[in-house]
Amino acid sequence: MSSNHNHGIHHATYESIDEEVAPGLHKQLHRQYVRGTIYVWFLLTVGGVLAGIYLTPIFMPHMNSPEGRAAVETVRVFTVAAAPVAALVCAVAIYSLINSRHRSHLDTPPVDGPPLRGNALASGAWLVVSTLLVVFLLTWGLAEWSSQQVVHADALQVNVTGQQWLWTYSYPAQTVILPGGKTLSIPKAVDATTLNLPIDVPVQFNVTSEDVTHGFYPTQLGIQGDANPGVNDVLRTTPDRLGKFVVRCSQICGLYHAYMYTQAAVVPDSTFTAWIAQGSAGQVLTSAKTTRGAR
Amino acid sequence: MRRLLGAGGAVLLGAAVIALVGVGFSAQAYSSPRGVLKATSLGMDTTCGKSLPHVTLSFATYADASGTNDAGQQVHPGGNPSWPSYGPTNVFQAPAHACVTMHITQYDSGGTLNNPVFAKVQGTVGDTESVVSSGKSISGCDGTSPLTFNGTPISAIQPCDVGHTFSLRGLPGIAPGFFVNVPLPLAGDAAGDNVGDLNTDPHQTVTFSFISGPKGTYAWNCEYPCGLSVASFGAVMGAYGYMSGYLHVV
Repeated sequence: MSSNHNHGIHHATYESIDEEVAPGLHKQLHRQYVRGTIYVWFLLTVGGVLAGIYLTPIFMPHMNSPEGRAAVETVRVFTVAAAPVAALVCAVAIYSLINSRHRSHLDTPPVDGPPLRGNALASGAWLVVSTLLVVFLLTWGLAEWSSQQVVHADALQVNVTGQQWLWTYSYPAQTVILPGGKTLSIPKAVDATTLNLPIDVPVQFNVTSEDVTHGFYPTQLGIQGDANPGVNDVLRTTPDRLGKFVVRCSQICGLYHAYMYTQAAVVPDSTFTAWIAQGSAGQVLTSAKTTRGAR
Repeated sequence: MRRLLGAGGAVLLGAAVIALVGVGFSAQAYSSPRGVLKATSLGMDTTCGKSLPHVTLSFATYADASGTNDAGQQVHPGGNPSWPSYGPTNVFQAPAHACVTMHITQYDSGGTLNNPVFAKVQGTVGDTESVVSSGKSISGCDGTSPLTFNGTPISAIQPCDVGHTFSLRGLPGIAPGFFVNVPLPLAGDAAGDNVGDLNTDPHQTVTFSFISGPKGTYAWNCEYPCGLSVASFGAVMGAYGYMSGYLHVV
């Protein structure tokens, strides 16, 4: 095997076509471009894994429910799992961009490389790794989803109505079981233009629309569902951290879709009780003072 | 090196052009070809329950955008004929943390709200509005009493007696808890194409006050669907400038 240089680009010639297109694994790993790519891949993988573990929580919002925190954890896990794949793609691109760049006007276009032939080892490895990765992601997602399908018979019922371009809420007549065994009686339906929820009380949202499809998205509760006219979409969560957040619309619904958001908060039992009591006279409730903080 | 500088310069220039286009769209989006109606100062008083700068804004809802107001000016120049419209403009300006009193003259007919929540007054002083009826009156939707108001503060109207609503909220990041909703009762039978002396046409004058929030842009829209297509929220309801607009709090 001999080689000649053309402005730093090595072109190797081979004794046989088979040796050219399917050199042994040992020889492949010792090719300069393969080694370089592996080094870059390793560095990017380490960076991606560390970023997934330590940076993801920094950039994700503060969540007020177990479902929300599960969503953040899922993003972290999926980022770590995807890091080697993304790193490989980036490594090949980066190494090629640097090593095979056009250096001067004297450079001649490179000759075509050897024809590609199948490599059972590479194809098989890629298939197995991809399958294992997808199965892992699927299993993780299904496990998280199934854990959120618990139905609480005594959940606080909140009817959510979307219309262009505001969310409105109605707390129907019910008896709410508060932490510690206390109960709160809501004798008749109370309407509100903001969403207040008592801490540590399971909530069931019954979501619908008066006109077009909207997306009910209480950002820091970790749940999201469509609001379709004539359909009751049920969403469940148990807020367990105090704090304010907003409810947005996640389905484009017309002119003021971007402005379709309302104030929301997870509040102590006493605050929720006092707030609901104001609605007994038929007044539409608005925002109440909340206490921000983590448990 | 020259090629690198040239490529970098081209990228920066392209980014600058895109940024300027974005700024232009943004400025245009919060404006109106009919201009901005600025609030008139009334000095300091306690209209809103505490001593605050007091300002006032007066505008109207018209049955026909191509018609004229009582000053003879076209309500919505170039507007789609037969579409109702707020006027003289849909963009207003008021100072921050001030007592803002709005007078809305409602000349249009109406119907039933999709959501009865918007038939209740919210976010104003006392959660009430006062309405004065003028001109020929009609029966309310309950079929018995006339739809006539004498200026006594009310907290709601019948959801089936709505002409329009004025529903105001802060843009994302600006006063997320701020919300004002005022239902405007429908006017009598002669409410039509608002041509000529509108003072002779039946109309409802709605007055309410609220305390403005911090500086920023607030969006308002009408929640009574008077358009076409799905749930009557197409046409006039989906076109900017007729049943929607902004309040710049400065």
